[in-house]
Amino acid sequence: MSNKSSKGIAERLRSISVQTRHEILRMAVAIAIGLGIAVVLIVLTAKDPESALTYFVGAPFMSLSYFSHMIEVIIPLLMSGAAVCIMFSANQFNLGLEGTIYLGGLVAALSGIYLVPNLPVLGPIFSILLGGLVGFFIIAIPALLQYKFKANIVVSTLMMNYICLYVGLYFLFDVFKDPASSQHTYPIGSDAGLAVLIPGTKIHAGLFLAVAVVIFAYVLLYKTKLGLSIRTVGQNPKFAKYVGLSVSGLALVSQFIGGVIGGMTGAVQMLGLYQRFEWTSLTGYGWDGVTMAIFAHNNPKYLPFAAIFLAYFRTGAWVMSFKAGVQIDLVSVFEGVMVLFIMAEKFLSGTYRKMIFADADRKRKERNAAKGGEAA
Amino acid sequence: MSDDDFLKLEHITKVYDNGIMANDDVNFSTRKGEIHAICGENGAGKSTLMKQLYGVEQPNEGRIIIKGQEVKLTSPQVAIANGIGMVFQHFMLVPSLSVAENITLGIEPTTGLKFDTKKAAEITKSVSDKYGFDIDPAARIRDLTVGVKQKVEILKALVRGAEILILDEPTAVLTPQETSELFVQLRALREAGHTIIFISHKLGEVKSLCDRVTVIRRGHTVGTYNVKDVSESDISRLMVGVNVESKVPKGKANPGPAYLVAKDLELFDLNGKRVVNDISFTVRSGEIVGIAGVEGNGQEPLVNAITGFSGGGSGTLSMGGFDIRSMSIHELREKGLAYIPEDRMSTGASGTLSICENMIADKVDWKRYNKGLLLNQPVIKEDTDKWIKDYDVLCDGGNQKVGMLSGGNIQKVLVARELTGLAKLIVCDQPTRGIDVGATDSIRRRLVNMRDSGSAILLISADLGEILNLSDRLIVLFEGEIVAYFPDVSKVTEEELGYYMLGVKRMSAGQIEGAYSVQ
Repeated sequence: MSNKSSKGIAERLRSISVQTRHEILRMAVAIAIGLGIAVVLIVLTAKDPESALTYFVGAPFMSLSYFSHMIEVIIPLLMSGAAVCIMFSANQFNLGLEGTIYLGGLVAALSGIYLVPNLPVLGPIFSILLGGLVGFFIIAIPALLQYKFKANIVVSTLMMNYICLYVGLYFLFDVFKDPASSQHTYPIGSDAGLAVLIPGTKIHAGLFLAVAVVIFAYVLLYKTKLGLSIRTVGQNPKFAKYVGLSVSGLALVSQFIGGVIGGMTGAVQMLGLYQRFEWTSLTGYGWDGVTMAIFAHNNPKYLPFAAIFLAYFRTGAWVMSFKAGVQIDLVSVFEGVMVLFIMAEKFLSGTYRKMIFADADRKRKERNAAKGGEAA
Repeated sequence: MSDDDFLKLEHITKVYDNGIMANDDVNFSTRKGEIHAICGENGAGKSTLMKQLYGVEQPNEGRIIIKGQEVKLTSPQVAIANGIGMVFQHFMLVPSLSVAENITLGIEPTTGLKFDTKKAAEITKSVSDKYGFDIDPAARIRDLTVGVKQKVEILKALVRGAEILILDEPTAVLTPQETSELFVQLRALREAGHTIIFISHKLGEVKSLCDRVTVIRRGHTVGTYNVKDVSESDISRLMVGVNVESKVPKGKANPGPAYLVAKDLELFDLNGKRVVNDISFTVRSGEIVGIAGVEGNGQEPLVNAITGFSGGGSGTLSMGGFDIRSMSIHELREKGLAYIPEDRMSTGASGTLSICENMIADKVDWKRYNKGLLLNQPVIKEDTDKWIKDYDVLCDGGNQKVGMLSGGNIQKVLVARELTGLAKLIVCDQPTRGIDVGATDSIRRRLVNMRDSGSAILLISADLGEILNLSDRLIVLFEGEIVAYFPDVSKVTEEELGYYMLGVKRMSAGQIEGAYSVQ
C-alpha cells in the first residue's frame, strides 16, 4: 500500500517537466547561496553568533508580537507584488509603484483626517479607493507618455517616483503639517483606520484586502480574456499584433491596473499601521513588489509563498537587529543576492543542458527498449 | 591516415534546450576533394549536425575528428582555424560595405592604422580569379543579386583558409540558371582539393553534382552511398522511410466572385523606394492564386499590406469589398482574414504560451470562449483537444508550451488556429518551409480543402513544386512588378518559371491583365 503511493509520487515527480524541475533547482540554489552569505555575515559580525542565528531563523515563532510583525510585513508585499505581476506580465518594466504608494498613503491619510474621520468600515474603504484613484493618475502620466511619445518607461517612472515624493513632502510640510509636531499631520480619525483583527497584535483588516488583490490578479491574468491578451502582449508583442490585439492599448491597461493597486497598497499600509501621515521618504514597498514578481515569475499564484518567505526572514533580521545587534540591512544583501541569481538567465544553464540531455536520453532508451520488445 | 579520416563525426548526439533530440548517434565522414551531400527531410537534423561542425552548437555526446586529430569546436572561430567554412541560407554580409570589405572583415589588411582598401581588393581579386569567380571587389553588397552574394560568402570562407566548405541548402534561394553556374564553381573547387558538404533535399541536384551522399532520417544516419549507385527515388525512399506521393491531389477550382482585389497597387518601403509597382490582381473565393518570385521582389511588402501590418501606398486594396488599408488587423481578422506568416517562431506563434493559448489567441473575443467575465476553460480545452487531434499535433497535451514542439508541429498549431477562424481569405507565406514531409502534405491538403469549401487563398512560396501543385492561377513577381501570369498552371514548368523569376523573359501587358479577374 505504502509502496504503491510512493511509486505514485515518483511517477508524478517524473511527469514534472525538466524546465520546471530546473526552475525549482535554480530557485533552491539561489536561496541557499543567499542564506549562506547571510549566515557568514552574521557569524562575522555578531557578538554572539549562535543567538543571532537563532533569532534570524526562528524569530517569528518565538513570540506573538514577532509573528504579528511577520503578517504585517506580508500585507504590502502581497499587494505590491500583485501590481508588479500584472505590469510585468505585459512586459512593461514600470517601476513607478513607489510614487503611487507614497501619494496613495498621503491621500488616504488626508481622507481619514478631513473627509471621513468618523465613518467606520465605509470610511476606510472610501479612503483606500481614493488612494487607488491617485495611483491610477500617477501611473497614467508615464504610461501615456510612453504610449504617445515613446518615452522610456523605466526612466520616466523612476523620475515620477521622485516627483511624487517631493510633491508629497510639500503638502506634508507646507500645507497639512500639525504645527505642534516636526514632521507629521494631524491624527487620522479614530474610525478612519483599518480595524485590528487580533487584539494585542497589529494584524489589520488589510490582510483580507491583500489576499483578495492577489486572487484578483491571478484570476485576471490567467482566467480572463483581458489577462490572456495582456500575457500574449508580454510574451511576444509581434505575435500579439499579428493575432489582432492592441499591443500598446493592453500595455496601457496593465499599467493602469498596477497603478490602482499601487495606490491602494499605500492607503492600506497607512490606514492599517499609522496614526498620522509621517513618511518623509519613499517606502520601499514598490521595490519589494519587483522582488516579489521576480520570485513569483510574474504569476500571482506564487506570491503567497514568496511573501511568507521574505516576511519570515525580514522578521528574523528585524528581531536579530535589536536582540543581537546585527545590522538589519543584512536582509537586503540576502534578498539582493537571491534576486541576482534568479534573474541570471544562464545561471546553471550547464546543469540544465545535462538535465535535458539525460531526460532525452532516458526517453530514447525507453523508445529503443519498446522497439526491441516489439521486434521480439 | 586513410581517406575517410579527413573529417569524421562519430556518435554525435545533440539535444536542444527545448528537449528535442535533433541528432541521435549520428556518424558521418568525408574524404578530401569530394562533394558530399547530406540529404534528409526538413527537421531530420542536417543543419544541427553542420552547426556542430561549424562550432555554433556543441554536441552532448560524440567526437569530431579532423585529419586524425580529435578537436573540440567550441566556436566558429575555432572551426575556421581548423579549416572549416560555412555558408548559411541567410547570408551574413554587411549590405552597405563593398565586396572586398566584407570578405576581409575581421582579417583586415592595414597600412598603419588605416584600412588598406587596395590590398583588400587585391586579396579579393586574387582568390576570386583563382577559383574562377567573376566578382567586382568594389561593388556594394546591397547592389548584388542573391547569386552573387552567395559567391561572396563562399569567397569569404575560402579567404579564411577553408578546406571543408559547408553549404546549407545553397540553391534554395537561386534560380535554376544561377544554380547551374554555382555548380560549375563547386566542381572547380573540388578539383582544387576542397571538400564540399552540400546540404540539400533537391535530389536532382545531388545526383548531378555530388560524389557521395549521406542520408539522415529523424536524427539518425541511415547510411552513406556512392551517388552513382543510387537513384533519386532510392535516396528519397531512404530519407522518408516509405515512398511518398509528393503531389497533393486536387480537383478543378470552382471560383466565386473576387474576394481580394488589388488594383493599380503601389507600395513603398521606409526609405520611400517603390517596392511594388502598379500591380493588379484578384483572388476569388474558392481558388488558390500563387505568387512565384525570387525572394525580395516585392512579396514581403505585398503580404504586409494585405495583412494590415503596414499601410501607405496608392491604388486599391480591398477584401470582401472593404478597404484593407483603413482597417486594423483586428478588424481584418473579424472580416475573415487568416494569415500563415513566413516567420512562425517570432510572428506566428508564441513559444512561451501554451498550445491552448496559441490556438485561441485570435478568438478570445468569441462568445463561445467566454462565460461571463471569465474565459470558458472547459470549452477551450475541448476545442483545442479536438484541433490537436484533427491536425495531428504531436504533443503532451494542450497545456504544453509551443516552444517545446518541433517545427512541423508548431506550424500545425499555427495552421490549425488560422484555418479554424473565419478564414474567408487565407494568406499563406511559405506555409511548409522547413517542416517534415508528413506535416507538409497534411497542410497542403488542408489548403485544398479550404479552397473547395470556398476560401480565397493567396499562396506565396519559394518552393516551386508547391506553387505548381497548389495554385489554380499563378503570378510571377519580379522587381515589384507582375511579369507573368498563368491562368492555367498545369502546363507550366519550373524551368519556364525560372526565366520569368530572373527577369529574362516578360509577358505582354495584355497577357498579364488576366491576373485581374473579377469573375
